[in-house]
Amino acid sequence: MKGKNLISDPMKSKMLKTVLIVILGIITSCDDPETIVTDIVHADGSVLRKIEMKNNEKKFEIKKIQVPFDSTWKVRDSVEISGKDTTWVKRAEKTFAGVAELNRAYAADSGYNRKTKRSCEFVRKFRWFNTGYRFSEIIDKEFEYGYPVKDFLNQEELSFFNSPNNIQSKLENGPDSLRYKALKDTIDKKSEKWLLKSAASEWIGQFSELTKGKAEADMSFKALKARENELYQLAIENQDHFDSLWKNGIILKQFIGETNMNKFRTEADSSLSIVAQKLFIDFHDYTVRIVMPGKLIGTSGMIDSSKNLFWPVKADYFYTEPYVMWAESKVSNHWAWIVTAVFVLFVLAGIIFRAIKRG
Amino acid sequence: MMDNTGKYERITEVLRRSEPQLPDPVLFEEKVMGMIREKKTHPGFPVLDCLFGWVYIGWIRNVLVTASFLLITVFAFQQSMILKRIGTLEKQVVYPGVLTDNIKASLDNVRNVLCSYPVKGPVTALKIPEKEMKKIFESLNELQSRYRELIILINENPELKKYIEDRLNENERKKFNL
Repeated sequence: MKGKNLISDPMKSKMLKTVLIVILGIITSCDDPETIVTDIVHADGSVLRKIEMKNNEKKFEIKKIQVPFDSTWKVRDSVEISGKDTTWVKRAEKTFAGVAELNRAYAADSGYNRKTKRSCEFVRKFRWFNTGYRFSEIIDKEFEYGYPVKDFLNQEELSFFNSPNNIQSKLENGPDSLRYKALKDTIDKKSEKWLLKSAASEWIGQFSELTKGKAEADMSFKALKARENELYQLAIENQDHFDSLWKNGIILKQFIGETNMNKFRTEADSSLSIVAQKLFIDFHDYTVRIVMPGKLIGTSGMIDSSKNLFWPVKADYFYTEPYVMWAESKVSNHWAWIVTAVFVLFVLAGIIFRAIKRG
Repeated sequence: MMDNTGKYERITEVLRRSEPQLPDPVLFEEKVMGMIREKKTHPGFPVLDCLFGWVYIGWIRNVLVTASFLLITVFAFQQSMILKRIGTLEKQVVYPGVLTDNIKASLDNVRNVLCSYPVKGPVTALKIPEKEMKKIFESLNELQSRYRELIILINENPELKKYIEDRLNENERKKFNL
């Protein structure tokens, strides 16, 4: 099979520069409406999904919706006027019988984020006194050979990195702005390293898969992985002319040697194409909100002052690790409490009765 | 051999004939009669005897007592785990008003709304400290969020929805009559 030659791909010409843009999370166009997807999970496993899209102009394109959407949804439009600002709001809702139906909708998605693999899980566990519920929305990772972001950022940086955009900008413009701007700069630098290292690792992984059985021992995954830093350094040092250097084979020649370059040029280009597709994923941000049955007891999400459980969904979060948005809740089985209390009292009464009888 | 057997039989015959020597036979008789009388006045609880008959069967008694202890332990364990998890959840960082509008923009909106209120004196005299504005905005956010939750609750319950719609229609009619 002949791989696609990336040299002619116009997207690649801006690769390294765009990496920075990706890190900054400015992929979403300003025209995009602000979207909140709310999953109201019921005890029987059915899910009422609501989409709320807000825009400063009356401009909503169905194909721009971030989650699967079709004509079976109930749609309602409204206008909110606050002072001099007018916001157009489009609300849509649909009840899904269970996660299987939601997953089928994800599989058949033709919207903006169709290329990203997403799925839902629902688990109900009967524990006599309580019934536990766990609902999760999972976005598969893009890179198979990437590194987790936590290997590059410390706890404080991770916390800022995972914060919603409006919180980040609020902190950057708040009373501690200098500190947060410095923190953001550090995160940008470290994130750049994280993405480039992951991209280098991914290229090695993909290249090894394509050359499996054809290459010598010096081109094995293990051998190339040991020299991963060399590839990373080559990319960093030559980032301004990466395109032309790759096209001329200079970077590849330095990394795998002239003989291997001539032999596996197609595989190398195909691997770069795969990495580029994964890196420049066309993904439109949105916010997920989950409402669970009963009392919430655990979550991977964030909580706002109104006790809303939410997750910002950005491409940065699922480059190298799956993004799992989960929430756990429990419902007390009061009938089980009563049955148990009656049983325990009965046994206790029997023991007392026996003691009285024995004198 | 025959002598020994004869002696044994004679001794048992003597023992059989000799009656027990009670120190006070009258007292003994009264005591026995008293116990019989007492037993007659307290005939027992046949229902309870039937209900708690299992307490006299060792293995059933042990199984039920063990099951009770197990249930109490499981209950205590489950509840403590849940409380622990809720405690952890409550310590989680709270992001103010994330699912509503941007704070800065909304502050401006609130200021616009307040400035549009008819007040005595020049409008420029209306000065609200930033802190107070923030408080107003946070209350507004909470109110909006609760309103949203309420709408969700109403939409989920058709009976409640119908009831509220009826009441709203009734109110409208009353207004019209006025």
